Amino acid sequence: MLHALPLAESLAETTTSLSGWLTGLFSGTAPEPGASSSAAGIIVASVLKATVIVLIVQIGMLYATWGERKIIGRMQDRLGPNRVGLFGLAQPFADMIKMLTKEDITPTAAHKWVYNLGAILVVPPAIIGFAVVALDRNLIAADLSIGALFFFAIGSTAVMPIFMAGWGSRNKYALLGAMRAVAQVVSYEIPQVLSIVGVLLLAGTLSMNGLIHSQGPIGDAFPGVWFILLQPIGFVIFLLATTAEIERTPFDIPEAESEIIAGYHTEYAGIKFGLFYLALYFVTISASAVGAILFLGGWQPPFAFLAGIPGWIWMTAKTLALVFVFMWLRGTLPRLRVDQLMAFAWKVLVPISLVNLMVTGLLAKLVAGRAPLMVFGAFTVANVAMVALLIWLVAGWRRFNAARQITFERPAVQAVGAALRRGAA
Amino acid sequence: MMEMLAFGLVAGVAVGGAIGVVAARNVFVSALWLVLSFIGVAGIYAILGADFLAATQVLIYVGAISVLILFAVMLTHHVMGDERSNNRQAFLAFIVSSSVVAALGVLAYRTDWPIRPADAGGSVVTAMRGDLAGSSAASTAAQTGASTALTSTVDLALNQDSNVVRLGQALMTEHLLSFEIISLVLLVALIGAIVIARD
Repeated sequence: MLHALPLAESLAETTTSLSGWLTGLFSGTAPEPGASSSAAGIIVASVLKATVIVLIVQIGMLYATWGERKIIGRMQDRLGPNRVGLFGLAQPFADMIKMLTKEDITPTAAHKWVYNLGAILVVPPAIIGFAVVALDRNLIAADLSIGALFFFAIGSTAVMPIFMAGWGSRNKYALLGAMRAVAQVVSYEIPQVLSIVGVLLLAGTLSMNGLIHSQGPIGDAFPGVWFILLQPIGFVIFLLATTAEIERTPFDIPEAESEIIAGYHTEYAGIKFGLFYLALYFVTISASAVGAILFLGGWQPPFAFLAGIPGWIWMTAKTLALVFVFMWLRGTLPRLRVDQLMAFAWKVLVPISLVNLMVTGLLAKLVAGRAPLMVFGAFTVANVAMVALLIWLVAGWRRFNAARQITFERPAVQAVGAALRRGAA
Repeated sequence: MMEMLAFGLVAGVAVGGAIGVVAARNVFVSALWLVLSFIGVAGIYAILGADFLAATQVLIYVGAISVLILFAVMLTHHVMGDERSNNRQAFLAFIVSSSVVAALGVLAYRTDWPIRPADAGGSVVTAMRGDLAGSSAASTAAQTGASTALTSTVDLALNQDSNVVRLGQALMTEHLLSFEIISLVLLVALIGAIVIARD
């Protein structure tokens, strides 16, 4: 039976468990009271939800490419696309037509199945993550009880298609790019997940709506302030690790064009390359959305008197703000070297996030159930102390390094110079 | 009935993936089939109502362990070639694997699984929701014993996280010793890896 539910109402039917969704898909037993009861109805509702999400994300992606080119253009004192349509607004469509009409090349040496599947499978992990992104209180496809974990679990599968693309292409640069990509993604997954554990610890839930409820003026759940105020170090680590995780500049080493052409997607042409491009912008948007949910209060307004503005406007604004930060980083910073990249993850981000997690755990136990202002004060003191300690450590490390260079490198340089002079004489 | 269909789908993915692992000519392709099999197993966990376990299965097995396997395969020689593994142990492997399957099958058949009767209504999740709504709470709880006795005591808010909450409580109370031992084993492996890497 097909229910003629209004779109918003259909989207409002949330499913709280994977099992309810999976069995509900087949059995027709409604996972929630009020949901349509027939199998056909549930399938139609699911397809409808999925279509709406994909459409929103698709349009968002198209204009994220336009926005990125405009913003980076301005940062580099250029105008960016401005020929197709007003302000170049039709440029994404022109690009799309170009991608679709280009010749579809498969290298003769490539492993056909793995090569083609790699390009196709790169998109699903990027889209599935949106299932748990809450645009508004009820605008969420599936408010799973394990929402945050679900998002990062799906995100971790994104390395598989990269591996397939790199290996299936039978190209040395593609293979090198895939190896770099996988090493990078696996390494940065650790600080990324560790940085959000502090947030999950404070909220005491993994559900996306639960996380949003616990940090805003609407609702009275603990702690009642945005987590960026309690977990600024966690937020910065999340931002850096996510930039590496989605392989954006300055962490786009897997596709460093000056070293290995285009990395794992060197051999892809036309729309197959377009799929990699698509996935990159999908994950940029979904990672920004999850960042906004975890640290910036999701659809919650910053103050209670602003509650008149709909939640999806707040959520969109916060997501776009984070997308802008990713573009800003790309426009500002040069690419890292491979060795710097791994050292940065393991020697800098992981230790800092571990210390942050431990301090958060101790403080969460101490301030549990107190007023927001009290919690905020305690965490501010702890965060300032941690940042001061970090600055002191970095300064000490630089002094130590400078001292070592003077004591160890000078005699060697002098010896080489003396040898050269002897040779010349 | 419909639950069986869902189970059949994910079990088919798991078994099909496993067959692909042994049938594929190339080691790399075998590893890819293994990933599919892992995803099928995650689906089975999800059907059993173990959401947290399903997500962890994907995170650990698909996102980390398979990556490690693929990485190891890629670092071996002849990465690019299509080589058939050419040992003559197919018969031996058949005997070993079929005896393992037989042993597990007998064990699975004889074990007294705590399954709720089919007439108690639908999946575990819908039955739990029914309990909370108050409809036939007493009769279902009496029939099914321990598993629902737990859920009938928690309120709706906790039920949303009950999977995670109960898992955490079990790890920190009943299974604390095994939890700590696993942590220790992982720590030892980590230190060992660092020592090997430094040499």
